[in-house]
Amino acid sequence: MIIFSNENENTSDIADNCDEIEISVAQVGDSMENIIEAAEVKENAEKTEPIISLTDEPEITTNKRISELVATEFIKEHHAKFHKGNLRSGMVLEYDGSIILLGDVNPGAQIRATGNIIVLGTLKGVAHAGANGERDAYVFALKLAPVQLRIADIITRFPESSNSKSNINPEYAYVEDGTVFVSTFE
Amino acid sequence: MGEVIVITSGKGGVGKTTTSANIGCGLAIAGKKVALVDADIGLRNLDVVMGLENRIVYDLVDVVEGNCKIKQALIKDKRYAGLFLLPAAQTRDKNAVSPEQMQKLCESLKEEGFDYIIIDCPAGIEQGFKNAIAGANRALVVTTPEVSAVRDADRIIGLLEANEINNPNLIINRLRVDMVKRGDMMSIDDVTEILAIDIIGVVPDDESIVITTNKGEPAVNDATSKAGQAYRNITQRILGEDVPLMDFEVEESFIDKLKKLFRHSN
Repeated sequence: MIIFSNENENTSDIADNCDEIEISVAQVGDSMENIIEAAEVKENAEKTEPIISLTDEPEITTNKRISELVATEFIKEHHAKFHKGNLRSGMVLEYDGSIILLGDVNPGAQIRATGNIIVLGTLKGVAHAGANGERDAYVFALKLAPVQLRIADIITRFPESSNSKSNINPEYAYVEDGTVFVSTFE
Repeated sequence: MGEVIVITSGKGGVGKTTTSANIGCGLAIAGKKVALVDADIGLRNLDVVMGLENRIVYDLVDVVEGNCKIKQALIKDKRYAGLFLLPAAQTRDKNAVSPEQMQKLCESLKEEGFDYIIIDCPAGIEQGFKNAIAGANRALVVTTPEVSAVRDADRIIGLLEANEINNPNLIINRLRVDMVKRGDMMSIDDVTEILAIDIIGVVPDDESIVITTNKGEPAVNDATSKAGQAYRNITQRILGEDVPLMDFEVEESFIDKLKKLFRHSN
């Protein structure tokens, strides 16, 4: 489900263990498969509770219903990967769902998600949201200055940013009529 | 039929990538169809030096693995007609490609009608080096006038000859004439005496290289740059023209003249 190229991650550090927390919001009728999948991804299950049930309604588990749900986008939308730390050149963070990154994406690094991408830091590398062709996906960053930005099948280049380094200017990029727009976040 | 030239050095930081970018541009300016291939997988730089980083979609590994066609991965440099870049992958390592695959890649680039295929070799003598030289039929060895760089260049020349790439040419980079005069730096003759290969160019140490590299515009296009002139000469020599080595007499600054005067009066 996740491919992370940095093989030298220090897993012994407790702080590191908290870096990647899988949050799965069980929706009405969320399939059992998804819940199990989410639980499997979370390796340190004893420390966090990956599954938060927002509803008391019973789950619908007929096979037909499950296959329908797997195909819908909202399941992916409600899967998000949290990652804390900077992505340096050559590192790739991939996830089938959305990604929330607490850190920077440096030039030469890539962040790729089938859902949305939220970078609580500076995005300077390559970001690809909606990697499976979802044009509704968006990319948000506290400082949006990617080398290249891709949403679904659309690839855009960004002009050289002239902003000063300390200038934090939250922006998000989205697709409208086949064109990527950047808008300030208000 | 196209010629595949590998730019190599053994030692890192002597200017392989800068040389590749400048020679590639120089040949394109001379009207040739040129493919610059970055073989430094995992530590790619050529795209940055060329200012083409933001246009990368596919890379060398994608081509080799068959994820895309070679034409899709080639980035056309809009500033120079006939200049194309095949970038390296940043997220993979040297083992992602084999020498046989590189040979095949060079062949298909030749079939695309390129006159020159310039391969930017990574530092070292391991897998990356083996990949880079696999498809080459000519080599340019870059060195700086330092003992360590010359030593590595010597080793590289031996390895090139072992791989049947004979008669490599030498580029001496970052020469400082003032230091050579003082006897603090190896001279051109010192270097050629050790390496005993034909010299194809000498590039003086030049601040403008740092500036142009950071800007993503090769110095070869800068008429005022001495290093740019040196690269233009190298390009002409690659094309078979006979160009004499540059005159490196540096103009003395006013302070230097004063110092000299002072020394003489003592």
